Amino acid sequence: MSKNKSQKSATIEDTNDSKAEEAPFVVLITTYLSYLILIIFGHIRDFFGKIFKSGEYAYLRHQNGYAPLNSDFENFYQRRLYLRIRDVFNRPITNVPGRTLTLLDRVSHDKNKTFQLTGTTTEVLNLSSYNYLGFAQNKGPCAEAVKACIKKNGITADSSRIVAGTHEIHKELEKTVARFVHQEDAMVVNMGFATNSTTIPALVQKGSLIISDQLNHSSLIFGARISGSKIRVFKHNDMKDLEGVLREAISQGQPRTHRPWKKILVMVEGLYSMEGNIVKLDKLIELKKKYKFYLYVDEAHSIGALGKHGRGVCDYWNVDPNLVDIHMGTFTKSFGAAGGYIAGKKKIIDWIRLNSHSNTYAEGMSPLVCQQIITSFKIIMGEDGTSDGKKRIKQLMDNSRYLSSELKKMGFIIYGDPDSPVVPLLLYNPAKVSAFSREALARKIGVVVVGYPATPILSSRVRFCCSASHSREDMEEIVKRISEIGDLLKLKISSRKY
Amino acid sequence: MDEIIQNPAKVYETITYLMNYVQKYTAIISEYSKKIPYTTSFVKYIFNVVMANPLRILLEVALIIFLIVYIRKDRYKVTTELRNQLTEKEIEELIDEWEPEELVPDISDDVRQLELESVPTLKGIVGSKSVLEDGSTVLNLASNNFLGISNDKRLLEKAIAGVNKYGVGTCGPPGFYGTLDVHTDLEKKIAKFYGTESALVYAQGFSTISSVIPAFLKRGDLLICDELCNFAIQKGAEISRSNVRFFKHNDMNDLEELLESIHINDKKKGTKITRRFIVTEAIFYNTGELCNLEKIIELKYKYKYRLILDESLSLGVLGKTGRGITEHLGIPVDKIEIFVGSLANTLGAAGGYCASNGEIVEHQVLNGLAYCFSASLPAPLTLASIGAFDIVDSKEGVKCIQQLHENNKSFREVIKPSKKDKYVVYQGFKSEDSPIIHLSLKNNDMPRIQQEKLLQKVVDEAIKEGVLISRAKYILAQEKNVPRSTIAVNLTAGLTKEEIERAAVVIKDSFRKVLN
Repeated sequence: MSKNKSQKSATIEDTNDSKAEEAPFVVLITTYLSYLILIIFGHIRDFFGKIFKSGEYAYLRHQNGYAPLNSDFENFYQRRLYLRIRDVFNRPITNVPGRTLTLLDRVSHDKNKTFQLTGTTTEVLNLSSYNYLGFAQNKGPCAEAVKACIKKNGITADSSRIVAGTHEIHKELEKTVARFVHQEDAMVVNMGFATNSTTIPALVQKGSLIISDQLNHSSLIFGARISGSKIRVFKHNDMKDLEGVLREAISQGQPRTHRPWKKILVMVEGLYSMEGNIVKLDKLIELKKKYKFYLYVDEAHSIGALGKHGRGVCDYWNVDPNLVDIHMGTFTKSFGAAGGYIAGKKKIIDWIRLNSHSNTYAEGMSPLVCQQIITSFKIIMGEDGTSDGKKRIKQLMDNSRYLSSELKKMGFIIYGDPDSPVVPLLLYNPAKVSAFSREALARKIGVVVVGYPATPILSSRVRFCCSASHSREDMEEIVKRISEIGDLLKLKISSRKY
Repeated sequence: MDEIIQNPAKVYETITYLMNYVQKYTAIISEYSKKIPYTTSFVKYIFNVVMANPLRILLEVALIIFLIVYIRKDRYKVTTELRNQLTEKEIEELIDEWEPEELVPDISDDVRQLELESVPTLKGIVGSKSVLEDGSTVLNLASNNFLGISNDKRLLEKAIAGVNKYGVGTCGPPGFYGTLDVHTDLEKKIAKFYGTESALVYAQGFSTISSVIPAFLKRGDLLICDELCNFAIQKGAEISRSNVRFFKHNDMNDLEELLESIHINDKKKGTKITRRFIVTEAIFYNTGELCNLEKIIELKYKYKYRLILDESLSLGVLGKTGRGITEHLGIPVDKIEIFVGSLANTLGAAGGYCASNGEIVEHQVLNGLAYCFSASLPAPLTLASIGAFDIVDSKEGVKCIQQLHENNKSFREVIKPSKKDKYVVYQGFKSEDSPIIHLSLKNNDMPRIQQEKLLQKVVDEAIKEGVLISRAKYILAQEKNVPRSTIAVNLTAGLTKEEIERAAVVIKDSFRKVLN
């Protein structure tokens, strides 16, 4: 524990170290050049293609008075950049996405336009699924409980929660979640994305202001946009910038009329899944005291994965959970299930029950999914009478720290907090995006690579998600193989010494 | 920089320094340019042009500079005008003074009672007959279990097999190893069932259409929408930021007038053709009636629109073999561009789907937000959906559909209000084909909350007598056009004719007991 604390305080003080490392100049130039070449070649191919193979481009033109579904410009990226490396995305799998993934091998005979399954499979080490605590299992207490639950409660409660689809097990789950995050009440939704996108409109409306982190997830942005409130953005995890935005917003009031804002909601994520950064919750709480805004923390990736007890960022920073107004999280990641929750004061949750789109119109959560979550919660809280939960949390933390520190030592440029189970490794050049993924596959590791437009144009990356399902031997093997790829692709370019 | 301005001698120094540089480099450039062919003649040409009409060139250059300055200045002016110039002290004061509203308003006792406490809790396996928390068994006419196959034993077995092989969660979005082989199987199944080229599975029924609409409609595009369309469509239209126009509910004349007026307006202005869609529901969630698809298709071809059809409630219900409204009305599937539906209603699993041609489906892999950014549907539920399709697509399915329509007929026969009854059955376009029946008060002048209270009493009374029904629920503050207060009865093939008739009698009696 003392080790844990000292490491934590070190990250707060040493802000320079947690700042992302800049890429070397040569890498910047070659990255820009690569994109330039890709774009020029794309246009040249388009130019000749439209003349000589006009049939293939018909979908971009007006036809019999119908506008094309894809505009030529919007589709350019997809046609000329994405298609080249389409084989590294949407790889189909079979079996459990646990310690390993079983990929269905596929080939393309038409330059990635279509894929054919070959009928064979490849087993690779899984560094890509959000299986932080290793609960994606088809054996063990969770799976047994789920199967028993299917026999007892079926697979559906058949209609939306507020109509007649509230099942006993929903209530049990909501109580468990509330207990886990130390809140009065909680509400569950059957899809993680929808938990954000259909709840935010219940909280803020016209006349309110949402201040959102620059790198917030698409579902938060979706929800903010349909809420009808104004949206401002602050620099990623930059509390100084947030303070500036807050001062400006409160002192200037609403645009044009200068009326004071009805309320301000600051939306942040606990752990940013593309950056591996943990929100600076302690500073955020200080700001909250002064500026009286409401705080919405999306713990999609951090619940279960951060903190000594796995209770998310509040646990990690030792912050009283009651200082956060809305706790949101998902069950897809640490719990090996699906869906999400909103937790908070009873009054707030009751209001959300009435006004969240999902609770009124969407199907309720499937009882079998509820059971998976309840059982995994019990294991994490040690209520099953074993120390399995504690072991998982410790194993995850060990694996995460080991991976990021080893890779840093080797000279890779790694983003994010040392405690984060998400470890992004910077690739920069677009050609390396596909190369890394293909090389990793050849070395039997399944990784997720992300490039523009999901990341800024310069910082294409590969994202490793650590999991408690890996042993130290697995991690050593993984680090060894990544090192090989790093040498091959010249990725050990960091100037920092660790 | 400040230093230079303060010291004039330094200015001179800097200028000479700069001039030296300029001279040096002009010399080098002219040296090299001599080596490039035609440079001298090009310079000569420029020189001649300038000399021929120096005033004009001067004027043009001045104009360009003016334009640049003007554009830049304008932009700054707007922002500075709107800002109040405040001192640090004033800002601090304003921050101290500002008191936000409560995050959520208080819920009145009426609403709490009506909307939260009255919601029944079920236990055990939910189906056409369900068990309430207190242990009593009720006939369930509140769920969308139209064919009575949800939680069928065979589906539970499929789900258990799913857990045995895949566990529960997929732990990732489809793009990042969240696509299981069973998802692909289900997608093929849906496409085959519909007769479309391809299909895509989303993880929640509600979020499907509100994600499909913005995938194709962007700012500047045009969406024509029925004014009583369900909430998900309204939100999808809103988020797309496209130009949304509404036509009167199921009123084809109004739709035609609207399309005609847009057409005339376009001709007048010579507007560029943008993406244009009509969106409607096969069976309306808000009223339970069918849409006039034949007429819509005629108009869509006449004015060149594409059609998005929400079949969330009609899949497995309409048509002899459950293939939806197209089969019911005998319309070829390829007349409709995009089908969207739910796997949670008739099929009794979870999730939603979009069935269409390959290009449209492929487009959503990157642009369907709820597809791209959300974890995929859990494998046990995916397998259950496949199983449910198998049942619907068999002789048994056809039988269930027949049973549903017989039940529908007998229910409507019994529920028909006599003169002394104080409720009405909603009658819309081909309502009698739909298994959703909306019952409302005859007296429509009462305030909404009072109507809802009375209807809730009816619901409570019916539940006491062993028939589970529910009021139609809406988020009043966010719906565009709030429909009348009603009780929505969802019929099911899982009950016998006698049971359905008994349920109808109970509901009728409950109305009488509360209202008379």
